[in-house]
Amino acid sequence: MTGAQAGPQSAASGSWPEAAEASDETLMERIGAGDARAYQMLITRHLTRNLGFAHRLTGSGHEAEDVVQEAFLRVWKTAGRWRPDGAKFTTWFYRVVMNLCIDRHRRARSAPLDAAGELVDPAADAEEQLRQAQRAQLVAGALTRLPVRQRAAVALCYYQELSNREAAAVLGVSVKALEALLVRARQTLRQDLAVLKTELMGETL
Amino acid sequence: MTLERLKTVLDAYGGAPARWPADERAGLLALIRREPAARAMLDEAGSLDALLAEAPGAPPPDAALMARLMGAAQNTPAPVLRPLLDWSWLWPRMTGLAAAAVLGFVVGVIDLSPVSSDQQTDISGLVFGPDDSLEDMTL
Repeated sequence: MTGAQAGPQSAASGSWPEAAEASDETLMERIGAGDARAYQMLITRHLTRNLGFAHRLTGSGHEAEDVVQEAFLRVWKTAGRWRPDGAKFTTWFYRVVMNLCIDRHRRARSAPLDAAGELVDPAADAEEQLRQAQRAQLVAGALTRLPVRQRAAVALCYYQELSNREAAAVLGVSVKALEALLVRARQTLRQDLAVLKTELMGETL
Repeated sequence: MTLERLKTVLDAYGGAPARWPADERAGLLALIRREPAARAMLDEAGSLDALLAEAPGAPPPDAALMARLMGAAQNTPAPVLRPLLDWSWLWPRMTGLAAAAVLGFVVGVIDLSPVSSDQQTDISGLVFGPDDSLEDMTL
């Protein structure tokens, strides 16, 4: 028999005092029972870092928000059946976000990505801020032009600050394969950004 | 630890030791302390790191996004119980049931196999006692 409940329970009816200390896995159990407070707690814990991750992969704030919404909705719908299978929730959820980004990237392959990310609004009369904004846009653009798995590897290791083992687990590869992705990514970035470095900083990489 | 390994680590993880593989970090830092060439490699890697650090991140999530996420769940039925068509949870139980059924069948076949006359005698002896006592019971 299928039990379907229309939306999350109210915070009051699903409240429990130890929610803040509960593990992600415990929260998932509670969410599986329709507990809205557990769902809200899980979102609070993981939204910022996964929004940042999705932003690195999509190069777009709006796309990143759509991705995390879809990812959290998947949590809501499947929490009752979720089994960790040895992986931490954090690892599993990064993988969900990454795969959603990759799916979107494949669907939109014909359309150009938002190559430079979102524009940073520089102060009108501050030359250094202008240069900084230009550098930021060019670096974001260079990251966005990387193949998506290389981009994910860089995002996980450099911006999400995961260990090499954790990043490899998210990508579903060995640590050696992760290193190969990172080496290729840095080689490409070095070449791509050499021009930028010369132009904006008067140096060579 | 070798210069070759240091080069691979720097090419992959950059110049920040915090990103290096934890089990190699101490060895690599020791190599950098004693080898000037290793120090130069580290400095070179830091140049790209500095640029990468300038990439803008996502703005922090606002209350509107949180409300959107909760609202999306509000409009989506949560499968509290396992869906009817999802039988994956049943397989481990079915395996146990099937094993019990096979065992029961095997035991049943063994019990139904023909019993020799000697065994019959033995069994009747166990149930009714020796032949003479059986005769005593006859009216």
